[in-house]
Amino acid sequence: MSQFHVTSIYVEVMQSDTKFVLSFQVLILTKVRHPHLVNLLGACDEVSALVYDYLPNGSLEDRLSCKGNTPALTWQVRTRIIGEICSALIFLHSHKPKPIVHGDLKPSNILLDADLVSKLGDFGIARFLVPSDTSTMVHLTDHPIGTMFYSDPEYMAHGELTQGSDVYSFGIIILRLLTGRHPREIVKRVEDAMINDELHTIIDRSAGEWPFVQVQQLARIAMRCAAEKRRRRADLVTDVWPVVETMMKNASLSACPSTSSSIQDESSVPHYFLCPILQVHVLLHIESFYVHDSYFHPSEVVLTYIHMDAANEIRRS
Amino acid sequence: MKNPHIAADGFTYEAEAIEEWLEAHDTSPMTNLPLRNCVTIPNSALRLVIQEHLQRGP
Repeated sequence: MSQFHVTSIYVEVMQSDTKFVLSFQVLILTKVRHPHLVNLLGACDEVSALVYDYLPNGSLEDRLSCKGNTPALTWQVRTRIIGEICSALIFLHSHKPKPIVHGDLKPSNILLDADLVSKLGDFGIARFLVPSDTSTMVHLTDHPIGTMFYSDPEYMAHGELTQGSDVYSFGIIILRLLTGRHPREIVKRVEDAMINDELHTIIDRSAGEWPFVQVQQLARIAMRCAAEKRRRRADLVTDVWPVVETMMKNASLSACPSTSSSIQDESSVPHYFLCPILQVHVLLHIESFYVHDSYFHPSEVVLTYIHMDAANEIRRS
Repeated sequence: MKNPHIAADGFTYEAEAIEEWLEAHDTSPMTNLPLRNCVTIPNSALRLVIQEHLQRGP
């Protein structure tokens, strides 16, 4: 019987000219905690590094493209991820006193833990919104930053970031999960398929036997989220959540546990088995250790497995 | 955790760690809010679950 616990962290090292981005991410992520947002454990200013919980299944982008020959995500998992991201967005958008907009929502910023539970990450361009002249909440910029295919066309044109910008990106993500296709012109493809009653032909077959009623519902929701005009987009709280919440419940009933944990990290220990105080101490220790030994590789992911008890011994000595 | 104890903030800690913390603080290590009291109670349910987990796993 082993006496030690193993925990893992993920260290994101940023370019030296992104100090502002780093401090902003820390500012936002220390203010918010949600089961579907990445958990920021610490930050190191000297090397511009952020330390998160390690999420062993990588990004949704990697899993959708089956990078490393991982099995395709089942429709049950995809449905759950849609619901999880929806809940995270509603949480951010209803943040008080100022709403938070993610601003760069895309599959590569959605990370998956050992059980394929999704966590929204990369708050590099996230912003708090302030009231504008028209009493709607916006963040104004002359230089919109975002990712092609996922970014709100109105934001790219006018530099006005609002909650609706995240809703657009969310719509594109739903369409990708449904079809498994590249996001280029995905809205038009799905729209054409719906008009011609051919939706079944463009659904990603690798997701399994996705109930067609759900596919239709999700496609309709996604199209409303990804409407070109911001004011015509769906409202996450009133239009989207009631539908996906019901779907999530149904999907979890029929989900097969073995498929959802097929690429599970065997060393994972439930976090509530670990003492929060000792975890923080271990982390601080490891952080300073690597900083002083210049172990960080710039813009490279460093994965660190910590032997908890060994690290505690070092701390005590 | 070998000896999980629950503090007044409702979170569970390693007994040794929370006692060391309470020697220098009267706040919760998780929330930083003042603790109602500095009493910690053994969390026997969690202790059993952890022991079962350790016996099952590698």
